[in-house]
Amino acid sequence: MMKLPPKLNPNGWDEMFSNKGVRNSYRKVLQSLQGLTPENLSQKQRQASDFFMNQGITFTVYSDDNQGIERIFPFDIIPRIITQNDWKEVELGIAQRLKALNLFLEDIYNEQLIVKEGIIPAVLISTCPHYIHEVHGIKVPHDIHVHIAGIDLIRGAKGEFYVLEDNLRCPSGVSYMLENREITKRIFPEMFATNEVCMVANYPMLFHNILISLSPRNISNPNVVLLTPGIYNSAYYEHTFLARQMGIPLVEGRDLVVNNSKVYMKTTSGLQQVDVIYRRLDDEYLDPLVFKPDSVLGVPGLISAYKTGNVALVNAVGNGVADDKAVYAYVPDMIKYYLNEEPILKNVPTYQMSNKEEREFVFANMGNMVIKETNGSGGYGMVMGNKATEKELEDAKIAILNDPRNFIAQPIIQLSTVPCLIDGELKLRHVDLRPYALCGPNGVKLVPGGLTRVALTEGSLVVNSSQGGGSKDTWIVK
Amino acid sequence: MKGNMLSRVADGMFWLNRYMERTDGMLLTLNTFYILSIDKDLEDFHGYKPILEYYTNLSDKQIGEAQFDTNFVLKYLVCDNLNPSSVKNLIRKARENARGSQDKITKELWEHINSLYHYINNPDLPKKLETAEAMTIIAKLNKDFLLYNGIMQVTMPRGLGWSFSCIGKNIERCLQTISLTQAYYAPIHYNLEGTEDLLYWRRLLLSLSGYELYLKSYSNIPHNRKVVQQVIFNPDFGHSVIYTLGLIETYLDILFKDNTLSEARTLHNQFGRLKSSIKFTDYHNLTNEQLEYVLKDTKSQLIQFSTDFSKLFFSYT
Repeated sequence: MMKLPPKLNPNGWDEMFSNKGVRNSYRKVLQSLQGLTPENLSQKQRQASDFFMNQGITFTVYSDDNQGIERIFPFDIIPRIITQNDWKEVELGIAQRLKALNLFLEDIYNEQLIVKEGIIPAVLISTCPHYIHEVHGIKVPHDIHVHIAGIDLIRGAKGEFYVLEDNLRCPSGVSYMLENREITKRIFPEMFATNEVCMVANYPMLFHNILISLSPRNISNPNVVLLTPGIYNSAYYEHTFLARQMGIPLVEGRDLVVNNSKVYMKTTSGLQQVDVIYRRLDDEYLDPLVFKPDSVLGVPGLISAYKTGNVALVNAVGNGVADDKAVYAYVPDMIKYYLNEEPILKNVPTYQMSNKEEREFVFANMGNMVIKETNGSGGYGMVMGNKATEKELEDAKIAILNDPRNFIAQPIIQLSTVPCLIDGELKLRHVDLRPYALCGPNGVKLVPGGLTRVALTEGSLVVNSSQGGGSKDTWIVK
Repeated sequence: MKGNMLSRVADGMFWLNRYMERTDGMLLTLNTFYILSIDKDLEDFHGYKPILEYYTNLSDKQIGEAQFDTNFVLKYLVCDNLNPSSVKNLIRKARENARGSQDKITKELWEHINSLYHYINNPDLPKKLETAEAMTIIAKLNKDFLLYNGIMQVTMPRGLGWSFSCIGKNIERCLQTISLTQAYYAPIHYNLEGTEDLLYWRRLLLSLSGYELYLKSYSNIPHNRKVVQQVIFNPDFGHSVIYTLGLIETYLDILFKDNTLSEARTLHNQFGRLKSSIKFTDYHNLTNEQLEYVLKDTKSQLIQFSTDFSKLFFSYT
């Protein structure tokens, strides 16, 4: 067991300990953990791993003989706790942000007032690869473009929340939030019961209600489907999980066909019209007639049916323009412009590499910066200034100079830490938080929880699962 | 339930159950042969030949070389990556179909298939099959397949998916029964008046889970005609051709209930003719030539039916 309190980073925020000892919210959890031997804890960790393995919540690693070996995404059994007071701020802040982002998307695909009034530079939009001209002028049901969002949050040195990025296209990971909770209840039933943890299990129900409300046909039982790229997609487990939880068919592109601008699914008793598609397919694969002509994942004619208003797509097409990392810097301005409010959640300071002064400032301070591609995700194409070699920094500079619009820089922020069970001991590791927000005709709803992602390597600030990150259950306690 | 099932998913459930039934049958046969191979007093002219002939693509020469080599047969049939019909590869294919139909099969069923997949992919398994543990491994796999059938029965909803699953399972079971029967009657030239003893027929009957029922129902010699009666015509035997065809018919009736397509009517009639040809065969007066013809003809008609069935319900590409 680790020495208590552990050595804390004076420039960071630990969620379990302050300089004065354990924080109130973690008191009961720590007490329970101290009552367990390292063997008990390791056994629980194994139990969790078996659970994920048997459920098929795995990804495949291929060896030389082309035989796939399945591995689970690492799960740390020690829960991460957020008090309800802190959560309130998150909830209000994200609701405010999404309201503004939805207004922005409605505006940017129609009148573009925010550009005309000079709040956002036109060039930023015109150079954004995820601005989809094909859907300019579209009217979506209830003017909602973002129905589900995963907003990545981090905590600064004083525990204050920052928005790191907005995921408004196909945010993934919500099944982990739900499954992490299931396994935590099984391995720590008493600890769970004594902590008054808010429930997250109603997420699929809330989401399903929103999907139904978007049906273009005014019928009592519209056909809602989940469109997946197929069984080889790394998030396929999540697709099946959500389809099963919502009781909707899980379809692939080849299961759908468009006729007379209406979408149908091919069933054993003929074609059936589809009303709402929760698509887990990026825009560029949706329709080979409009986007990538060689894509076999999508449905020819889908965009035409969508523009005609015969089918609703969730999330709407073209949201990438709002979660572009260069546009992200303008979200506080959007909040002021559309809502006439001050942002509740802060942005991380962001430097636009297309701006000469900002670029020179970043070049002079590369060691303290993280460089990101404006349309990258999963931690790919990211350069951490404090870890990169001289050559990597030089390469990053060249890449920036070649295509400045494609990059932004942010100061490296020490993410908060949470104890994790590593090699049978509790050790501090950096985390972020992705709460999932749902937007429907009745407003924005967040289930109290989210996906806590952990950088499992000591000192690492990269939490992405594709870069060796793991996850934790997130408790919002009363 | 009026149909709203995706053709692709129905196809997945159909094939999931065909692969699982094939693997189940192969393991049961392997277990029987393996246990009997230990009994050295038995005069065994075939070794593993019937199982290798039906369940693998090996040439006659390769079968001749391997038919008495237990070590080779166990590894080749259970976990050889290069054998497309090994238990390992069949479970992989079954799991892929289960993955594609995951929103229509129950969590319990999925978890069971998944744990089977992880077990059969354990890198230590081939080595263990060379040791005395082999018997335990085969027995465990046999039990896992029984459990699969139990989980299916207990947890799966009786909707369209159930009908497609059962049709797939019973087509496969029927084909296995016919093929294994052929494997035992062909070497004796389908001689229904022959005097092969019970030891000869024991392998076939055990492989089809029908040995005990046979002993209870037909204890007197000669056996050659009675074995045919049991495995082809006995409506109380769960692996008999007539019983499996009866189940297929039951689920076809459900699928065709509200289907007014002419193709559906044609297929329904096609199956009716197939079943009738067995139902109205007088097995008491069956000749050797007729037995050979009935087995061959039923098998080819069933394969044709399976193809036409797939065309009608699964043609989604």
